[in-house]
Amino acid sequence: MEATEARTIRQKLKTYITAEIIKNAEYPLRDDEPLISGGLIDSFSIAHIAVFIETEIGVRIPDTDLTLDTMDSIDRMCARIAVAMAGPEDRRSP
Amino acid sequence: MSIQSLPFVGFCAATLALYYLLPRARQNLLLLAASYLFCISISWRFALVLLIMTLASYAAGLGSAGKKRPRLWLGLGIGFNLAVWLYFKSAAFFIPQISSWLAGMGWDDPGRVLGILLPVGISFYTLQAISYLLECYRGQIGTPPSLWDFALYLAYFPKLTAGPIERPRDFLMQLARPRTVDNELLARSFYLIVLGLVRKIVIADTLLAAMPARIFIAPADYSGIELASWLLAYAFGLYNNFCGYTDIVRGISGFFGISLSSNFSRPFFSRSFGELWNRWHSSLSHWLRDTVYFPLSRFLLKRDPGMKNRANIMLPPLAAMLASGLWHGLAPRYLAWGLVMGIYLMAENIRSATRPARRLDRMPRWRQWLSTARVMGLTLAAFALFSMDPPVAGRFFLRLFSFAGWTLPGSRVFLVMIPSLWIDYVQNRHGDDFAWLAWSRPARAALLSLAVLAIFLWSQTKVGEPFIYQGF
Repeated sequence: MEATEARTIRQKLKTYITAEIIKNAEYPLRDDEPLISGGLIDSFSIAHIAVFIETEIGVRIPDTDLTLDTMDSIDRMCARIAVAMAGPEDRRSP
Repeated sequence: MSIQSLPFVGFCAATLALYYLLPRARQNLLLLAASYLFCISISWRFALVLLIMTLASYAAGLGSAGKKRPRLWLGLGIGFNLAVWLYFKSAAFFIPQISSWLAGMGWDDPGRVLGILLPVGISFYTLQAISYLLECYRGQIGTPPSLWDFALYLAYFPKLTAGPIERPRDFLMQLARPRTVDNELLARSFYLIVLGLVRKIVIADTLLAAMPARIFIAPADYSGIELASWLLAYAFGLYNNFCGYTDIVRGISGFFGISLSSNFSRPFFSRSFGELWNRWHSSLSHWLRDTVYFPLSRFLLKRDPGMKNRANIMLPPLAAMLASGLWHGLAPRYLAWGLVMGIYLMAENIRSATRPARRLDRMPRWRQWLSTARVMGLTLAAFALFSMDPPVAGRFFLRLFSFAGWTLPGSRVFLVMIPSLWIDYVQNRHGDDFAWLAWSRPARAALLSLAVLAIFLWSQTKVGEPFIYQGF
């Protein structure tokens, strides 16, 4: 993934999370801010973010990977997206 | 062979000795043999059921990961596991009722005639087998494991009877790579076993043994304060019973260099129900989230991605919590409990969909405590539903809020909750299950001596209560 593409994805994610999930476009969301462990997002919001990533970025993160390790911050989400873009995985969903 | 019995200690010691005598390549086989021996020591029939489910799931897993009709193999594998589980689970529900009718008709020992028992651990390894099949189908497993490693994944004796429900990839990866057991891991494992025994023998057994036998059968015989107090005692008893079990088996597994999920993380400090389910029996809630909640939510959101998608607000939490209720048992009480817990989560979804999100950890301290008290109070109400049939629960709540009579239960009930609260408080404050290991050496020695003395004294005076979740 190129640096420009990575920056675009990061910005798209931040815009979506502040506007739709936090519902405050002015919220100063840091890239390393703990979203799940800080109690800012829950399973309901994680499902929305996963579908956003799938439809808008074109990467499907498997349900089993929607965890604290991969979804707790913008940094972690971007890292997981980069891994998914690097190679095929989760070839099927039931 | 109970995990807090002397024969089990001997069994573990013998397995450990052999484990470290064998080369690495043979250690998994030894653990598999020990696990089946442990299962046979409870009943050879249970081991047979486990073996059949293992072979069937392994075959279905190979088919699901292949290119020829993987969906069919996945369906067959999941269907078979669920059918076997449902057969035994429904037998466990219906047999006592049929048995009591037969007893009424003059049969001497109807239980023996019908003789179908719920195989130990079946509710736990069935879910693990389903996870494995799904991961094979999705291509997440990579190279399929050997039959022996897969069999060990389902049968591994520390987690066989009551979990934790491990994710296949994580567990199989541990089986495949070299394992290092250093002094730090040994200290942590020993610490977990001592902590688990304190929770189980000192706290849970005391609370559960002190509970009046008819409190959840005839609530009208007790005052509202007594009912509230005993409900609280039951919640603490159940928590320490299951958390104690989990700590003990995690400690035992640590000696073999295999890490198991923690399952509990100070649940009574939760500030929301979403947080509660990440802290209480989390290996089950994560399984439900991965297998029921997220797939259903994603399916609904692809049709309407809006935050106010009503179906997405309501159905995933209800489906996940009703499935959790069914997993616990086929009785109406568990379904009622699942329904109420689903409604709690649904209410939080409505909040998330309509109001700006806020960081729970940045709320004023008093608001965090208020949220904790709200979650705790509503969870206790759900515990009442979990513990008795719905009509009795109705009478329980009527009596609870009748304010008739002011009889208090004995104060020892409250005293024994203090160590439980203190343990959780220290762990929560430091955000670390092993907070005590950072203490000075004399302080650690004093605490360890106190814990061992308490375990010894309590084990002399109390009749050991069973591990409750082994019954599921």
